[in-house]
Amino acid sequence: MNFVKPLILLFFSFLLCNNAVSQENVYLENINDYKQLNLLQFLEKVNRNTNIRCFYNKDSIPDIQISLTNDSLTIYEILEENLEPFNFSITRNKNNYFVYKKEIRTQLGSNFYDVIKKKNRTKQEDEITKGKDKYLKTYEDYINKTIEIGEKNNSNQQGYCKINGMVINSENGDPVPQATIHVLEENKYKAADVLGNYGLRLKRGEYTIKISSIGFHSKKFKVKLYSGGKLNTRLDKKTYMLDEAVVLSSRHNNKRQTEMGFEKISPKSMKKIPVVMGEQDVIKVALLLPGVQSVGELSSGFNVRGSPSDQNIFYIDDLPVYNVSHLFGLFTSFNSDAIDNFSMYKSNIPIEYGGRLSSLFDISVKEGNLENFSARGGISPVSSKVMVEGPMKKGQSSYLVSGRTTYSDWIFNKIKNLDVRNSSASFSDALIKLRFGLDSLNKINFISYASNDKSDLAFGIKNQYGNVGVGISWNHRFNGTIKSELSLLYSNYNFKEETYNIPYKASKHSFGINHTELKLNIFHKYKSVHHLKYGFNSVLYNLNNGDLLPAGDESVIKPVDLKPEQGWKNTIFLGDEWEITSDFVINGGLRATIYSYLGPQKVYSYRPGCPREANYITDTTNYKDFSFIKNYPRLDYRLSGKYSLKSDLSVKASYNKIHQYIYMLSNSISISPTDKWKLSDSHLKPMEGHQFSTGLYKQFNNDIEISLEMYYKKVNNLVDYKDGAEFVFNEKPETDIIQGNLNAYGAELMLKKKKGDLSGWINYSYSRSIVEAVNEKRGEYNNQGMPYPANYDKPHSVNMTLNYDITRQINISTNIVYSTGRPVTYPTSVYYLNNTQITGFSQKNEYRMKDYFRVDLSLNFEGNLKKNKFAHSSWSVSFYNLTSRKNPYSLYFENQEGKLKGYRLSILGTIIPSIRYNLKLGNYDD
Amino acid sequence: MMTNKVFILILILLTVASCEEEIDLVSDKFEESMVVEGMITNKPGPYTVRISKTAPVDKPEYNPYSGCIVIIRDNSGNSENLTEVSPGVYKTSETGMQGQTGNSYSLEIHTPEGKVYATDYQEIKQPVAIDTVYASVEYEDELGSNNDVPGYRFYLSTETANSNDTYFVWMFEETYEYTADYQLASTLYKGQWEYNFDPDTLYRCWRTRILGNVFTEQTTNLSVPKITDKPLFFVDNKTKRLQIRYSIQARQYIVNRDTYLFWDNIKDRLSGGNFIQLEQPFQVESNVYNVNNNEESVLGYFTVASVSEKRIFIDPSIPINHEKCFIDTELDYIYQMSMHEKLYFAGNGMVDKYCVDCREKGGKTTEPDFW
Repeated sequence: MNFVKPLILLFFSFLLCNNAVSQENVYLENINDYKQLNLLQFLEKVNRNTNIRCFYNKDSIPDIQISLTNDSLTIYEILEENLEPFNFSITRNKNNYFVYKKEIRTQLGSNFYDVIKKKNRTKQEDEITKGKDKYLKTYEDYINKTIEIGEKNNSNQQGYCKINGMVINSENGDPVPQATIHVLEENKYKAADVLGNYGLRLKRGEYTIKISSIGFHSKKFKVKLYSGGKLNTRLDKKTYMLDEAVVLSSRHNNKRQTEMGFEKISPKSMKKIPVVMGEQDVIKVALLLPGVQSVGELSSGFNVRGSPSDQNIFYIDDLPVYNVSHLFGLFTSFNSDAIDNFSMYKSNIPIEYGGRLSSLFDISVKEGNLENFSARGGISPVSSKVMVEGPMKKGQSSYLVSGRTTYSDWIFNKIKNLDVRNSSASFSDALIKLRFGLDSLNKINFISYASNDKSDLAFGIKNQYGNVGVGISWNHRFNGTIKSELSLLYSNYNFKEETYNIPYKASKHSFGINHTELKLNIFHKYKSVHHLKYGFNSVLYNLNNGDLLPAGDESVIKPVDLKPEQGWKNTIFLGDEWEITSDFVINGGLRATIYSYLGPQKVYSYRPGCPREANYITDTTNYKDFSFIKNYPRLDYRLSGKYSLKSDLSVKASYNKIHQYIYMLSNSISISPTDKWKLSDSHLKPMEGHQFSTGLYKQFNNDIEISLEMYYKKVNNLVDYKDGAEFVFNEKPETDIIQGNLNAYGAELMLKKKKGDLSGWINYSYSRSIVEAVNEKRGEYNNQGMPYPANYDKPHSVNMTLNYDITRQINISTNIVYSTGRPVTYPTSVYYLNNTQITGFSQKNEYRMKDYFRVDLSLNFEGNLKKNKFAHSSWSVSFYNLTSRKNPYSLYFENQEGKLKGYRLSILGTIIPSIRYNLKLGNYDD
Repeated sequence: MMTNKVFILILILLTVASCEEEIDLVSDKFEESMVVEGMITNKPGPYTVRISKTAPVDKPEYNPYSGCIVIIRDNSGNSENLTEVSPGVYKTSETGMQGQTGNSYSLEIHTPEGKVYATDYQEIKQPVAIDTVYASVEYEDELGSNNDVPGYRFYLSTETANSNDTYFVWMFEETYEYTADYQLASTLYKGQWEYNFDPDTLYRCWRTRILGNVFTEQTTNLSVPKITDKPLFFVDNKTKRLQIRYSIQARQYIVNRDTYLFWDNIKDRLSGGNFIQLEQPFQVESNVYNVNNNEESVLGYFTVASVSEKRIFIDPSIPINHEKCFIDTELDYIYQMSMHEKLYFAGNGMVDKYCVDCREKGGKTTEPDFW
């Protein structure tokens, strides 16, 4: 065994040195001689050239290059910094350094630590354990150990001591970001930053500290605090979870950080939420959160706090994804098995992101298992999916590959309707993530994502759309306080459409958007109270508006070359979260962006004071390749603050200003795959969004959370579309666009229970969203210049999601969803033209459909929960729309024998049962 | 539009698990507006302008607007005051203004309340001839059921237009020959039997009516300004339209872009297949405006167009699927009943009037000239 040799050495060394010896700090001379060495060579050289004697087991020292980040480090610090990520401890005794793998602790008799303790190493800031280092129960998080921090004889008897620490993933040495540190006696909470660092201020004394984070076993231990010091903690990834209820969602930072309007959800919780046709879906879960709405059952977009759907952005790891829907919005284009968690920001968007006004969906892909091969899969009536993961090099590099495909064609064939029967549609998606651990400080991640949808519809439309993305990022840790991420990303969304129902105008058309991005994010912890983020990003947008080409011999469609367009966005940013006191934290940031619309392009000028219409074109300018047609320098702000009134009660407020330089051309109520994207250009200004929000957060027993948030949002230069606008073949989209304003405001009340047999949440939101599309200068307006409610304006909504564990293997969950009906334009009059009755309509969105209400139910059965098993299976039976309520999707009106009749169309207006079978290698919780 | 169809499919798919319910229409926010429907073409007049007012949805009726002064002007200073021939219907005289290709025309309306409405001048474009109109037997899904219904789909091809930017609007008038379900044998009224010795008199009819369907097309995105095999409306076999002989008179109007856009939007209102409202419907505004108040909502259109016409006939090869009237063979108390109403007899019993009198279904018993 690896550890035996150093252990014996250690043991003897302690016997030899009975007296406490103060430590000497030994620095390296000629540091450059050491720089190119690997760790083993380094240790050998230290032994040769210095008076330090290092004891170690050759075989256990990892083969990595030594990293000397700072010239002024002592040898001890160098070793600590390089070896700590690999679970090594370095113990000093005079000039003898003992380097050993930490696992030995659990293998040792308890007297071992007593021996160490006898050394009374008062200056030692590392963690020292006492007593039996043993879990009371596998599944209980309490660890019976006491950690002593600081110097016993420190003169500071009354005052506060400062503890700094880092939370580390025991599996790979990575920091665990945003873990929660809970001091039980003080009921004080603290959240670690993205680097896993945290700071605590406590009076001298004894405390029980609990450290937890999603996906990890929490740790609880006693701390004896004598003076300031360091407390690093390793958390184990959850591997075996028997009793603990699934945390449905964790707004775990609610009280403790300045983040507002933030939700983080793990796939565990998604798994139990009832879904339609058995497909687990992040977006359908997001729709149950306050402030997130959609226009109806079948819409690929959704609306966050009153904003149109193109103001949301999705990132899968760092890759932006421009269309996240399969089958026109029925499903989401991510395989939930590959997702580690997803976070949604709808209030203050983190400073390193920008460019969308409303929300940010950050989907983190799992990192492949570093130790073992693992696989999982599932089958539902619509699709089957599989995910495999495992190490490429044990402990260092790993892979994860997931794929999903559909066989929905047979469903189409079963349907009697002629049009449907002769149609086909299918989708697939795939994801690859590779992780290369270069050494303890450097890691390279590679991610690639692709999705594809194909359909061939009986009335003569072939359609194909998909995303492709590739990203590579280099994560580097300079030292414990600075971490950088340098990423190069490419993302593409494209669609092709072929219509062949009418031969003379059969046509082919395609569109593509390319997003190429280079970015550098640096996370910097400064003086333990400042959490700085700074960096830059540069995005090149390249839109291929495509050709319109005739399809088939009979087509007389005139080929149109819709010119490509390009934009370049360069941003630098700086943000800081500053803990002024432990109760008062402020967060501010600036993003400076220059967005440039680039040539080649043909730009039309319109007569001032006239509507932008083809008849008013006065001039045409041709711009050359990469010439700067128009520059928009813009400044974004973030400002937020948190104040803790009590340890479990806090208030927060924030203000955000963001600009958006790209938007979707769409005049249908929901997003369709053939909606194009458009860049801000010389006519269309960037949209400018302001959001003020404030909130109150209260926690009870670390189990129930209540929050109330209020917001006011204003968007200037909102892109609104003229009635009857047509974008597909429009060479001058500006002629169909009016830039107006959006005013949105609302309040969101959320109650969440996180633990126990019964968990879940209930929320109520009041929200309004009013559009005003008037361009007075040009005399252009929608709805006769009157403000009107947005299509998705639903003032009242209530969502409830409950999960009840009947036994450890069986649970039942339910959704209850209510909202005000969406606004519609309604017939108010009839008149006659061409001997036929015609319907006259009200003002835009003047009426509403009836209220929406739905109940879903699902039952999940897990296989046995043994720890050591080859494979684990589970069944999930779900019922969508249990009450068969016919919720209106749309209204339509028909003249029947001289009488106007109105009909309400419901989609999924009946109970939809489905069943899914999941299988994976390993036990329940791997 | 193509985009929408993609959606419609998936919606149809989901309709399997969906349904439609009728809803009550209320018009609590009804505001009366003026509706203008007029046209001047290069075809000899007289030309008609109809002026009416909108009605609330729950009381749909035609409300003619009487007493207006209606003037058509041309760009060379000529004008004609139209005469109100029946309430709300204003006509030029037989010898009055004649539309000429290349000339421009405008409409002016003075209401009895003293409001003045007008249009801008619009030009009559060069006509384009219709090449062919034809029909072929096809099947269509019946809405709400899964039956395939046979019928005729009509198609139209044009000659090549002179201009690359040609805007077409098509409207249609159908005429069909049909019979009542039964030949009338006799009637009974106030106890008096009357026997019908010429069974053909009320049996055979010809009905002519304007089809509500409007079709539009533009050639701006075509390499040749010619429309080939444009699919039009579908006539199914569930009515008597395909019983004996069916004829269609196609009228092809060449209009300017604004007029095209108006009718294109109206087309979407008219096609009953506006099944799923993916785009919010909106009020289609007129080219007639209140000269003193631009914001007032006016509906309808004054269309200035050149026109070409083509008539075709179909002798249907598919049998109609039409249930004949019920014959009541219980003839108790017929004398008492005949005191209040006239009773009709065919075959071996009594029938409703429309079963033996084809005029009840809107036709006339006289054969049209072109038949």
